[in-house]
Amino acid sequence: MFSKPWKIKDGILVGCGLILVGLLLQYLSGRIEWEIFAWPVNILSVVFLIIVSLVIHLLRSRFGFCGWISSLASAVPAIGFSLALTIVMGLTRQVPSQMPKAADPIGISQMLRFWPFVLCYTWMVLTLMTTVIRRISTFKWKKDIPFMLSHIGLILVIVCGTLGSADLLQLEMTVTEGKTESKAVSEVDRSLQDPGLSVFLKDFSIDEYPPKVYVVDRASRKIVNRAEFISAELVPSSQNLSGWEVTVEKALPFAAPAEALIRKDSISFEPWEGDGAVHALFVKARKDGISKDGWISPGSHEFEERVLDLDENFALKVPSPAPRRYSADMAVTSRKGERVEKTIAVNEPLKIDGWKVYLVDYDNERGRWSKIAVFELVRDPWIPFVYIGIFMLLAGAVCMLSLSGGRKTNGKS
Amino acid sequence: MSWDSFIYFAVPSVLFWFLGAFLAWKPLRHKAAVASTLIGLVIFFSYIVAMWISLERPPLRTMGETRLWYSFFLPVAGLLVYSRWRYKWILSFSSIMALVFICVNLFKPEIHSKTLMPALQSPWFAPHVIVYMFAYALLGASFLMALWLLVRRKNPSEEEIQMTDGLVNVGVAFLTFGMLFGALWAKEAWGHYWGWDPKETWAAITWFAYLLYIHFRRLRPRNWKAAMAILLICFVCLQMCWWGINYLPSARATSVHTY
Repeated sequence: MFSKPWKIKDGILVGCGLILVGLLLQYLSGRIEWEIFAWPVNILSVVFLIIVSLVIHLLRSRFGFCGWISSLASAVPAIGFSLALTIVMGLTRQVPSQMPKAADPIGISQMLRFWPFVLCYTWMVLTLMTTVIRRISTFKWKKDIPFMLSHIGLILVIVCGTLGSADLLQLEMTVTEGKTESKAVSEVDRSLQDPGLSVFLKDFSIDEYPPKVYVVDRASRKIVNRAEFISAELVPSSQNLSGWEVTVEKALPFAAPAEALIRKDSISFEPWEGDGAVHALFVKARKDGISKDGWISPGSHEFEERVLDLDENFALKVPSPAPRRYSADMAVTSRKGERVEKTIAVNEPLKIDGWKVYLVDYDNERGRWSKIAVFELVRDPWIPFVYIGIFMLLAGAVCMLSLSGGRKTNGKS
Repeated sequence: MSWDSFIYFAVPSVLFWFLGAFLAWKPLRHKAAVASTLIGLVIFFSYIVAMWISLERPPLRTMGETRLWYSFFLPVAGLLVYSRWRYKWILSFSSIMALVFICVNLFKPEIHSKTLMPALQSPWFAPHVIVYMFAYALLGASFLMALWLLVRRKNPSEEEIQMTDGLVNVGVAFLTFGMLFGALWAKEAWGHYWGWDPKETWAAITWFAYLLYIHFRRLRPRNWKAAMAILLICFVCLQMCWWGINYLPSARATSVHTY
C-alpha cells in the first residue's frame, strides 16, 4: 500500500480519505462559502493551483503521490468518487445554493457547498492539471492536440466556472410600462443593488397561439382528451369532439360580455379593446338531435371564464391561449452614457456595458395585459474563459470523432 | 400528418429493418442487408418530415417525439457499425431496440401536440436534442455490445472490444456536443450556462460515467469484464437522465426539463 508507483487501490484509499476529511471539515467549519472567492481570491486561487501543479510535477520522481496524481491510477478513482457524489446529488432533493443552509444535517442537500464533493472534484482538477503539465513536457503536435483540447478545456470550464461564480452578478428588475427603473434586487440575498443601468420599458407584449376549444368534464373543468380540439385560427371551423359535432362560428380576439337581450340565462360578447378584454368564441354543438350554442371565453383578470354546458357531464371550454412569443420594447442607458434601444424576447438578450439583460417574466395574472416586465441582469466577468473552455471541449470532441472513426488500432487520443 | 398515421409508416419500416437484419445473417448478402435497412430508414424519416411540416415545428418537444428520433437513429447506428465491421447480429439488435421504442409510441403515445413555448424557439433547440438522440443511439448500441460480451462471450476478440470502444468514443463525442450546445443555449435564454437542475446534473453524471469507462479502459485494458460492467452502469445513468428523472420525486417539481 502506498508503495511506488501508486495504483488504483491507493487511489481508492485517497478518495475515502478525502471523504472523511471532508466530513470532518463540514462538521467543524460548516459548509463551503463560495462567496469568499470573490475577486481577487479567485484569481489568486488559480495561480496557487498552477504553482502547486508545477511543484508536484517537479517532484514526481521523488514522491509516490506526485508521480501518481498525473497518472490514470489517479484519474480513474478521481472520476469515480466525483461521479459517486454527483449521483448522490442527482438522487436527492437539492436546496438552492442561495439558501442559508442545507435541509439535512450532513449537508448533501447543498452538494455544491459540501466539503467531500468539492475535495473530490479538486482532486480531479489537480489530476487534470498535473497530467497536462506532464504531457506538455513531452509535447508532440499531432498526437497531443486532441488531448490538450479536451483536458485544458475541461480545466477552464470547471475552474473558471466554479471560482468565477463568486464574481457572478444576477439581479432581478421589475419595470412598469412607460416607466424607468434603475434599482434591481439581488437574486442571492434579495438586497437592493444599483447596476448602473437605467431601464425604460416602452411596451410589453405577448403574441399568442390561436385559442383552442376542448371538451371538458363539467365538474372539474379538466380536458377530457387533449388530442381533440378545434383551433379558432380560421373561422368558421367544425370538428367532431367526443361525439359532439362542434362548430366555432365567430371568434373575437378582444371582447367583453354584454347583456343578452332575449335570453337572460346566457351572455353575449361584443368587440371591445379595453384593459382586460378577453377572447370570445361563439360555438354550436349538436348530438343526437340536441343542439346547444353560446359564447365561451377563457376570461381574464377583469371577466370570468365562460363555458358552454353540453349535458350533465360535459362542457365546451376555451382555455387561455398559449404564448408564442413575449417581447419587451425597451431603452437602456448605462452610467457611461451608452444607450441601447431594442425589442428583446426570450432567447434574445440585450447587451450593454458588460451586462446582459434578459426578459424572464411578466404579470401572469394579467397575461397579455401585463403592465410589467421582469428582467434579469447578468454580469459574468469570467465567462470569456468558460467559453474558451467550452469551445476547446467541442473541438476535442470533434477530434474524437475523426480519430475513432476508422481506426482499427486503439489509437491514443 | 398525425400520430394516427404513425402505424402505417412504422410497420413497413420495421419490416424492411428486420428483412435487412435477416439478410445480414446470410453470407454474401451485405449489399441487400444495407439496402433493405436504408429503405426502412427512408420510409421512417419521411414520417418524421411529414410530422415536422404538419406541426410547423421540429417534432422534438414531447417524449413521444424524441422516441421517434431514437427509433430512427438506432438502425442508423446499427447500419454504420454493420457497414464498418460486418457484425452479423448488430442489425438484428438495432432493429429490435427500434421496435421497442416504436411499440412504446404505439401503445402509450404522447400525442399532446404541444405548441412550442417561447423558451424553446431557438436555433439551438433542434441541434441540442438531435445530437443527444444520436449519442443515445450509439451508446445504446454499445450497451447491447457490453451485455452480449458479458453474457455470451468467454473470450471476446480484440476487435469486438475495440468496436465497443469505438461506439463509446463516438457516442461520447456527440454527448459532449449535446451537453455543450445546451450550455450555450442556456446562457442565451436564461442568463447562465449551467444550473445544476436535475436534468443537467444527470447529464453531467452520464458524461462522467462514460469518461470513467474510457479512462478505465486505458488503465486496465485487459480487464474487459469490469469495463463492460461499468458500461452497463453508464447506460443506467443515461436512462435516468433521459426519462428517469421524470419519475424521481426529488426532481419533479424543480426541473425546467421535465416534459
